[in-house]
Amino acid sequence: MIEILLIALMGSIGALVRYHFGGFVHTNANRTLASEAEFPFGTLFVNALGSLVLGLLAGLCSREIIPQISYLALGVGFCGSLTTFSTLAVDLQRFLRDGRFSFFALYLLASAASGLGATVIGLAAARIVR
Amino acid sequence: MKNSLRYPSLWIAIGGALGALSRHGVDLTAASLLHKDAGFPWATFAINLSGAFFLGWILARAETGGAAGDWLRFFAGTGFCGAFTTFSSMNLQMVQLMQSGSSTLALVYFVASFVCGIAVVSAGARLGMEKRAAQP
Repeated sequence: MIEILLIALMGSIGALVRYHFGGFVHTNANRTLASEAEFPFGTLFVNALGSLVLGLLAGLCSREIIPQISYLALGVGFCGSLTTFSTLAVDLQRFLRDGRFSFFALYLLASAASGLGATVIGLAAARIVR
Repeated sequence: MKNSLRYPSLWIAIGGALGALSRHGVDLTAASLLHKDAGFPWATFAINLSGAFFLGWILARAETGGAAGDWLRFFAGTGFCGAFTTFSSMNLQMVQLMQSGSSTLALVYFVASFVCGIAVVSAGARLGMEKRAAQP
């Protein structure tokens, strides 16, 4: 029962952080670059951040440094909600639909590279924790 | 786009809680139905595709604007679909597949997720627009 409550609570916090912090990153990154194009920096950033933390948590949990319940709350609840595939797929579909193929390729590559890279770094960081 | 919904953060939080719980529910159900080492991460794959389809539909429907459209976008879109679907688990599963020597399966998972994900967004958006045209 406590797992259900923790996943719900951390899931709602993850969604709020994605919306507010992701929105902040999105606005500032596009303003800094003076890009009129609105590249989805916010989603890219929260997806990489969540992948990093999930990798770290998964590594720590498999070594039994943190209990299963922390993994459920922070990994499944928070990181799962913080990161998103649906918005990523929608933005990619819109780049394709609008014929912005360089943005499509850039976003797909950046998402895959940062997501996989962050996961590997998170897992590696968990290995050096004593 | 002007927001006419009051307390969007509250709706995002409720949708986010429901999305995370639903994802966990699907994960648990799949784990009890499938063999533990089924190899391919079917649960997350199905979650991500259904969530992408639903978000495509939601955003097409929500373009009508107004409070109902904003509610759909914030509660069902940003909250539920955003939290239901996940990119971090997908990356972790791909790395784990690669580490266990199933690089081909990891690649299949990656390509299938994106190709099917983009296709279902288009399908959802088309359905959402038809519905909107039918009910002006």
